[in-house]
Amino acid sequence: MASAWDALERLERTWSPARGFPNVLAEVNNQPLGRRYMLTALTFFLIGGVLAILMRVQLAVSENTFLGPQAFNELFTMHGSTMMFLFAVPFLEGLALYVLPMMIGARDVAFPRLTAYGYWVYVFGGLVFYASYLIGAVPDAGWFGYTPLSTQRFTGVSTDFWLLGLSLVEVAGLTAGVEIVVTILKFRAPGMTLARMPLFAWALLIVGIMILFAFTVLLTATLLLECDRALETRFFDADRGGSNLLWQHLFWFFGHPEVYIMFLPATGIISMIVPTFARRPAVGYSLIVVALMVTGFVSFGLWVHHMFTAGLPSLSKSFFTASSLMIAIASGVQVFAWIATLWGSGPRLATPLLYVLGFLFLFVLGGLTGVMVAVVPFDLQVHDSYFIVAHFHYVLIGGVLFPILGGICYWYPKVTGRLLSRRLGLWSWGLTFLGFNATFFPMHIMGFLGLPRRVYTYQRDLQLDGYNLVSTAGAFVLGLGSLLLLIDVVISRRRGRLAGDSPWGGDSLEWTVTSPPPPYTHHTFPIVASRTPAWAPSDDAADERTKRIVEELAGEPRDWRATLVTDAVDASPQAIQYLPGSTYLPFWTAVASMTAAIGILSRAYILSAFGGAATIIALVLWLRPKQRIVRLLRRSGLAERTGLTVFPTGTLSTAWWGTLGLTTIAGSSVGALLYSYFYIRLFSEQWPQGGIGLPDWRLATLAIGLLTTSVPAVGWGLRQLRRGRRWPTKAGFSAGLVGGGAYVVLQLVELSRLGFSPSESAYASLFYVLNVAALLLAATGWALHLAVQIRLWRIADEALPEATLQLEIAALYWTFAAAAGLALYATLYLSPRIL
Amino acid sequence: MWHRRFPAGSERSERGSPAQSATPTSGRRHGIAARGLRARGFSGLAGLAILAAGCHADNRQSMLHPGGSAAAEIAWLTWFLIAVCGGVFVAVMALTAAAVWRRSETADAGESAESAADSESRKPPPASPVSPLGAGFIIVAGAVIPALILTVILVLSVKAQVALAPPESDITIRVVGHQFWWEVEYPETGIVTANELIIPAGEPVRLELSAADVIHSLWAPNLNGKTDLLPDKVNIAWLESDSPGVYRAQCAEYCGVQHALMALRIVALPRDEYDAWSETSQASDPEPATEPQRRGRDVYFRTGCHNCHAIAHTAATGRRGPDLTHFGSRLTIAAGVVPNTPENLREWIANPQGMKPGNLMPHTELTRDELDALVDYLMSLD
Repeated sequence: MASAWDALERLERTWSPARGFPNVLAEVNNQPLGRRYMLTALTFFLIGGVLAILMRVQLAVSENTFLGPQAFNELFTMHGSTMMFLFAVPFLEGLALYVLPMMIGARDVAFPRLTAYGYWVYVFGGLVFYASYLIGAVPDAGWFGYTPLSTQRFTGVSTDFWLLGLSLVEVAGLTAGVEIVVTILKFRAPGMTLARMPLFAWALLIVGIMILFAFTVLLTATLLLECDRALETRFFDADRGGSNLLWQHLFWFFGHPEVYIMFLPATGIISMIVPTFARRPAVGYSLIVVALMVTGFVSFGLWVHHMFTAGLPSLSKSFFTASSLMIAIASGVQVFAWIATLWGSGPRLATPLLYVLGFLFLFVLGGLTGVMVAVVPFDLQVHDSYFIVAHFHYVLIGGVLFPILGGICYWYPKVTGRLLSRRLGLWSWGLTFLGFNATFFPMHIMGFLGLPRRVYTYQRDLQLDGYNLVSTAGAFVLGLGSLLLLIDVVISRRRGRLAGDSPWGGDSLEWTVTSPPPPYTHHTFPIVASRTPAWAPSDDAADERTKRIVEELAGEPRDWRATLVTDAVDASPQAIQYLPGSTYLPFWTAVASMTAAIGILSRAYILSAFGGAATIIALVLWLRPKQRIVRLLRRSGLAERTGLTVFPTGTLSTAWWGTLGLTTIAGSSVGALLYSYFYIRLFSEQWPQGGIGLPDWRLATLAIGLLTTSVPAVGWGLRQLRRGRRWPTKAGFSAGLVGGGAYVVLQLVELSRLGFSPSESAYASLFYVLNVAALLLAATGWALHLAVQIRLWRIADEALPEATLQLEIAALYWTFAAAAGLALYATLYLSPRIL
Repeated sequence: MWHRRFPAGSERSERGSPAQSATPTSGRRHGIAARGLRARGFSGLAGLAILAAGCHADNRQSMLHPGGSAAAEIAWLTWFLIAVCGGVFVAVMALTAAAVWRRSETADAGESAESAADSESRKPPPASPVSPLGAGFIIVAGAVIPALILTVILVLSVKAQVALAPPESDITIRVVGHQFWWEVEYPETGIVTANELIIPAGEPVRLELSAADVIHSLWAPNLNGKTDLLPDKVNIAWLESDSPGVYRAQCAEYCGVQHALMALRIVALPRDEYDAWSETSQASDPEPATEPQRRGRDVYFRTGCHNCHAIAHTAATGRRGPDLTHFGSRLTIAAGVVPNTPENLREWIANPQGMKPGNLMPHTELTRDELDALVDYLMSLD
């Protein structure tokens, strides 16, 4: 017995969160970081709410002088950006990071250090955003940053704050996206097949994949705009062959999926709360999953409906009307699945369910006005009017905030071990619901009456005072309602009633652990045999091997962090994944990233160079294989006892999946660049623009030839490794080092001898930036190859298997870099000749 | 056609503008009679009832109160969408309410969070009976019925889009968006004006839209949907007013600090009055007739007004600000901010940043006397 207690104590100590300053900066565990994410996001929610109230005060009466136009324009820019980028998305990411491992039966998320890095760049991005208030150059070009208003010609450093703050937050979003996808695919409890996964996890899986594409396109677009501003490239400069509509295409290609990136996790929350209170499994589980997939997919085909007034061809607009209406069907399926689940179950109207009902009311209304605005002729009238303001607040507050508030009420007892106050909850819900409708319903009518968005005042003879006054009064009620919930969250932390493990009787795994959960989340990995594992625990269903593994891993390993890796589809145990403990590296890497951004912001490029170099050094330290860990894992004997490898490779390894995620991100970015190239080309009368001749293809062809032929050589090297042949492995991988090195050098030569500067025309800018992108991708791959060679030369033959993963990753990345280089080469050098 | 249900002429003389007259004595004089803003107090309450009532109220800017065939087409579609979506909303809410309030016999487990917290918490709750509604219900209610409704909507949408395609038109007007005013040019006659679009009633007018700086968008809710004005390319739009009248329009794309106060007036004149207006507008302004007016002209050229504001047939050729030819006949000052009266003009010139902070007109130091003379001169440009 004593040894059992001892074992538990060691397990606790291994996982225990860091306490006190500065240790908290080194925290990498998902629970404290998830909580921090959510609390930070709620802080930004409060700030964004205050900005909204200020705007409503200004608009309470016509021709008001409470705020000037400049202050107001800053407010709506910051309000939109804050609520989207600093509240809704990060909150849902934080919730996912916190709840997911608990819900799917893991001990942590896939990349704990990346979690920490993501959190810190998010915080720093938010700080950069709001630092603009200290300088007095607050972003004022709108949350959509349309060019040319957002270019150097019309806005000063304020837009740099916006772009760079945004970039940091986007990086955070991307890290969370990779994190969520890999965690869901590889860390599910034994037996939790894809078809048994909680709907919240399904929603997050799809959202994670969407983030990889959508956020990357936005990140690419913001970087292109920053290049225009800081380096005088011409992507969005219509006078030099650039295009303003290109920005709109890129922005909305992100911007519309963004809505569903917020909305789908929110529906995931609803799909968890509804079955719990209906006390029956979700009806139409498969239909909901299909609806989520359709929504995620189609959301990338809607972006033009934000541009119906921009003068695009009529036929193409009808296509986007049709795809927008298709989304309504997917949402309809979800709504009726929830209704079917609730039907006749006599649910208890506790606060989480009240938020679900409020959500249904507001979201259905907002969804229907969404159907209306998908109709092109109607949209031509209400586009950029207050009708749209009403519509998207119904969708975003009704469709996202209400589920978030419901989710807070639902999971708060799990996180803190205490219930929120029921009475305060009722008041908060009622005030929020009434206040919301009073604020936003009149805006539909104001839109009909011709009030455009983003106006700091309106003239008295428009006769809109009455509506606006109701709206402003409503905003105060709405603010009070939200504030009550936040107060409740604070005071119930200590004074709330004890919740017990499962206050609502939920059906998913998080309700099987204590409240608050232990730092290692699951002492024993659960075995899942149904979609409602907390209602029907049935270990008997598992095979002997799984049972033995779970038994061996009960409270094990004690002295280092690890979790169980299972098959992406059928969730059978595959490997044991070592997880890193506290380290300051993510924090310092984030500081370095922020320094690079601030360098661009202040046009002190030396600072950027310093920050960039520091980021690279930190990453090398971070990713460097550590012999100490190899020895630890080898000595543990866990592999022998469980029959699972502790050195997972290939698809068994989170790192391999993470690399796949990274290449997806880089690939989307290349895709956005290629789209920009062909878009600008399509609308240019002459190509190449501005008297630049066709590019000389000789050197570039040699370079890409060397790069691509090194790929099969590296692949051969990898196969030799699997056969345990050391020298052929070295030889194969050397081809990558040599081919990559030659490519990088030749690319540099090519760039240095171009007879034009990037600021000559949009074509010239594209030529440089696409080539630099190919160069950077190859240079990164070359660095990986260098690391591989160093390791191959240093280690003994017996240690070769443990190096396998590193080589696999280098080879995977190399294949991608060469493919991307080839696509960029074909575009730049061949397409002007052929097309 | 649906818009035929809104007869031309008759009761709808002016909408979207508080301005008064529809029978100007001469084309160019319409502005004088149209002055005198009248703010009608409107204490609105939220709700569809008021919305419906708003449709009958006259004299206001509203897309549901069409003055031309395009807006009528869209207004019809809007009411149709409101009716259909309203019906769907009520039906879904009724179903939701029924789902929650109707409880099956055996579902009466009635435990609360408090009791659950106190009891043994790992115990699974008593299950409800299987829902009587299954996948069939979800597919029919969530996919099949919506698909049918949405198909109808899509068909009507495309049909309306076809109906809204720019028709043949005799008159083309170029509109150029500036931060924060509208330049209006009639290429056939060479007339240049600002913040006012004079059109003949009862016939479609083709608009060539572009922008001088950032993106703007032209929106006259009573006449048609909006179209963006882009710096890179020319967009085509059209307007038609069934009957003579004055309509308000404005910028609908955020374009910078004074996006809010960037309005214009669309004045639809009977064809003969339009022709008369076109005739007189091509003529040069009358020579200053009085001593103060002559002094005002001196001030205009001496203090540099002419560097930004052109006056046709004079040495003033600047194009940065609005063209001031025939300025005296304009309805408003500063892109719809205030009615064009001598008092307002004086206040505007004395302190351009007061009425419309952030606009690009610089402050000019003038004596009281110079200001009076300048106002006198400008109002005489008629």
